[in-house]
Amino acid sequence: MKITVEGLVRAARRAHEDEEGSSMVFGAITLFTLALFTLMVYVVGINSSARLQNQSAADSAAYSGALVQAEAMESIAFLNDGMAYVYYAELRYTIDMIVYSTLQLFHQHDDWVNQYYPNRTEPDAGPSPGTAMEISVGPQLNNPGGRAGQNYSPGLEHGGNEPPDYSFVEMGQTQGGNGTLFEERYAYAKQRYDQLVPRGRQWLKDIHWAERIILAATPAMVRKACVTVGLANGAEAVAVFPLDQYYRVNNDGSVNTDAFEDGSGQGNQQFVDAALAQRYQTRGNPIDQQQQGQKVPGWFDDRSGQAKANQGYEQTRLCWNKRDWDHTEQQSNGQAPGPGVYDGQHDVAADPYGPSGHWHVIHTHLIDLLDPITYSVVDVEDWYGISPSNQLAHDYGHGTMDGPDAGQHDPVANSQTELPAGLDQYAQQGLVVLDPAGNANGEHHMAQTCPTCAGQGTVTHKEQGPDGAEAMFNNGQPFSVFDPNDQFRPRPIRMKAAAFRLGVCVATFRTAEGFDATIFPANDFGNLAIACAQIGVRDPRQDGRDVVAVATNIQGTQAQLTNGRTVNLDTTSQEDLYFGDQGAPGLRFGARLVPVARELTWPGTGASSGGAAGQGLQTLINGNDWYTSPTAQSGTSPPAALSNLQNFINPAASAKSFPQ
Amino acid sequence: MRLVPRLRAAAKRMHDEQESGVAMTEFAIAFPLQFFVTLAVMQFSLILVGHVMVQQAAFAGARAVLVADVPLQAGNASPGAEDAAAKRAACFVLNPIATPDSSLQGGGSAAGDAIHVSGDDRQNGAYALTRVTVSCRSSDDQNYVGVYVEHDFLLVIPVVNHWFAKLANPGEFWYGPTGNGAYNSASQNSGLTCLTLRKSAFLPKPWRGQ
Repeated sequence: MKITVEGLVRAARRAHEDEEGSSMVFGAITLFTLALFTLMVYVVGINSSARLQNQSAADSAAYSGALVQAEAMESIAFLNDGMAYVYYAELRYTIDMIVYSTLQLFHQHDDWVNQYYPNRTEPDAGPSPGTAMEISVGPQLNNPGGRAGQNYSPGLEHGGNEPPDYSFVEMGQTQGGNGTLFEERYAYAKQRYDQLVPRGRQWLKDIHWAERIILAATPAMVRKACVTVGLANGAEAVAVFPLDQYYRVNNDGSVNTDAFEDGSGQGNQQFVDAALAQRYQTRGNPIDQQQQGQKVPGWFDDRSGQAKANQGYEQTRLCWNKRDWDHTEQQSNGQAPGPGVYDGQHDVAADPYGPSGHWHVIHTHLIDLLDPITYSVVDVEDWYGISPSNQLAHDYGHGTMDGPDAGQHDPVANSQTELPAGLDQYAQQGLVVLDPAGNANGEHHMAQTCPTCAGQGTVTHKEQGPDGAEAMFNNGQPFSVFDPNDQFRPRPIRMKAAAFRLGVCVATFRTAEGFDATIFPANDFGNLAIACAQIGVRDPRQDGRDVVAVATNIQGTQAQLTNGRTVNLDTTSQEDLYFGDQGAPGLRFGARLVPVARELTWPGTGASSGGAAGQGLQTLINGNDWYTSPTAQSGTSPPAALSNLQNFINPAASAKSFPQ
Repeated sequence: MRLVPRLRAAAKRMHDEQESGVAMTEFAIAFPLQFFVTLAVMQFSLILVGHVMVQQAAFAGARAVLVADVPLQAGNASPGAEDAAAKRAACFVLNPIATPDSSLQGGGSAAGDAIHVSGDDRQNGAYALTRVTVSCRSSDDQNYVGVYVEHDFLLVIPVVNHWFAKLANPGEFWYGPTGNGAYNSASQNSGLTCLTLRKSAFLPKPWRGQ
């Protein structure tokens, strides 16, 4: 159709006159407005929902990570406790070995006396002031110290006040009877020392390294928990504040000392630290089944694991009896040897603890006279005109170490007093010898030193002592908890007060929600949520909801907690880092959410200069510790969509700083 | 031409020949109603937004209470810290829907916020229009913390705002300078037309604080 001016004018007039559709336009505008507002409600609602979900994701992630951290701390505390218990058992096994090896030496001594001088071991009737009696050692008499009426008490010789308990160190069961009690106990002690002590050494080493494995793995486990929980709750990316450096373990087993230390034994590598050694000496333990632990004897060094160098275990065995003391034995002439007979050796005033270890024996011996030419035994009567039937002399065979009394047995040196008259000259010529096959014929009183105690009156177990009679059953090596060829010492990982600052700080990010790129587009900032959780000291309660108190102030080795408790974290503290169970000193750990804008929430550089929260936020948000997968080995840079928000909020400047 | 014949002629023309003006009449009748409904839907949408925001504010307040028993600085928590933290967190969320009028009585300072966007003076308005009650504190021996938020939501759509205000329970809303609301003198005296929105939020607290 040809378009003409007239046609257009008519069409315009028709359009002007036709009012159909006018309400449609108005309705469209109205509907558009309503749709717009409806979309607004939708977008606001969905973003609000996303924001709540994102904050919940951050909270859950941080709390989960801190729980992992708390469990790691509690595991280390538990292992420290196990380490202390194994070490305590090792101490007792070793003490067992030292004591029972010494006592077994006594037992052998008693056997020897009983065999050769049975009358020596008979207790004399009636007490005698200042005297000691030798008591026969039998299955019913646990009296190896020779003290009548007393049981063995560890440390008694050194003035110790440990409770008397003969079986202090005994862990095994013995059958006793038939005089075999000491042998059995020694056998048990030796078995345990030979088998269990090496096994315990390995346990200590395993526990030592298990703690370090847990410590080193903690930041990765924390991070994985945070990322897993964060992503599962709707976050698109999760940032975890890096804590790796605080948990670092070096190849030699030492730990980073910012927040932990490895119980170096106060700098001496040959010792375990005092708290480890003392742990089960001061608290109840399954061995004793008592509220209080048993202390080790005073002569034993609980930190080096062996007897003290200059104060080794020592037991005094009295090798005489009352008759020896009083010298009531008959002499050769039938007279009792009164005081002064052996003056200088039995002088009570000079030796208030009694004569040196020896006993008195009465014996007779024949002598042989030798042919001056052939030096063969000859008939005495034929050559000397003297009947030997009543001639007395000494036999050298009474002991290998006759000691100071040896001269009394020498027929040559004592020929004038020991031999009948007339034989002195022959004795000086070497023609008088003792008859080795001679029978006793008459009696003679003499003193003889004890071959076991070597005249010292004591049997001593001193690995490094000068004593001649040492109970050395370990091939010349001192009995010890540790292998002398291995420098390893168990080092419990300890916690510094700064460890309470290792907050698990998490940021979760998700892009904003929109309806359409044109109509209600998503905002450019995205959705960022931050949450921090921390470990705290946990006070277990019956209902399972434990009190978790985090640190409010950290000064030196002390940490003050929100519940008013002060935790001491020094090297001698039994709290650091042991498992606080059943009333024992120690710690339990839990986790809780803590404020983000708090100095103690964030570890690291802000501690002294203030502004830790700002610096921490800066590191958390702007750092390269963002994760989009729980299995990622390392973090990435922040999501690109976050850059606008980063520029807008300026985390370092917007977080409140504290002058702490 | 005389007037009567002319009117008669005009009426006849309108009746017989043309319908122009009918639509205008219909529009004149329908427009106010439709416009009112439109405004009402707009206001209703905004109220829905307000509900969402207040709910989010309640969550934020509860979230703040959850950690507020841990003092920000060394020492013990100060009394009332949980209430202050809850209100601060709730008002931070409600800033966008609060009035920027900083002259409102009862306004609070933004200082002390962990993250504060400087220059946003809506903080005062949010503080004046919002009341936060901690219903279950972090220090309480409960499994959760709870916060109850009342916010005097500004009805900004003209005409219908008064209608919405009157439609609701008179005891729970007010309008105008002499409104009968009794909850917040600041918003009442300000002459703002408000609708009080109430939301509560509870968050689990698996630990005890004390």
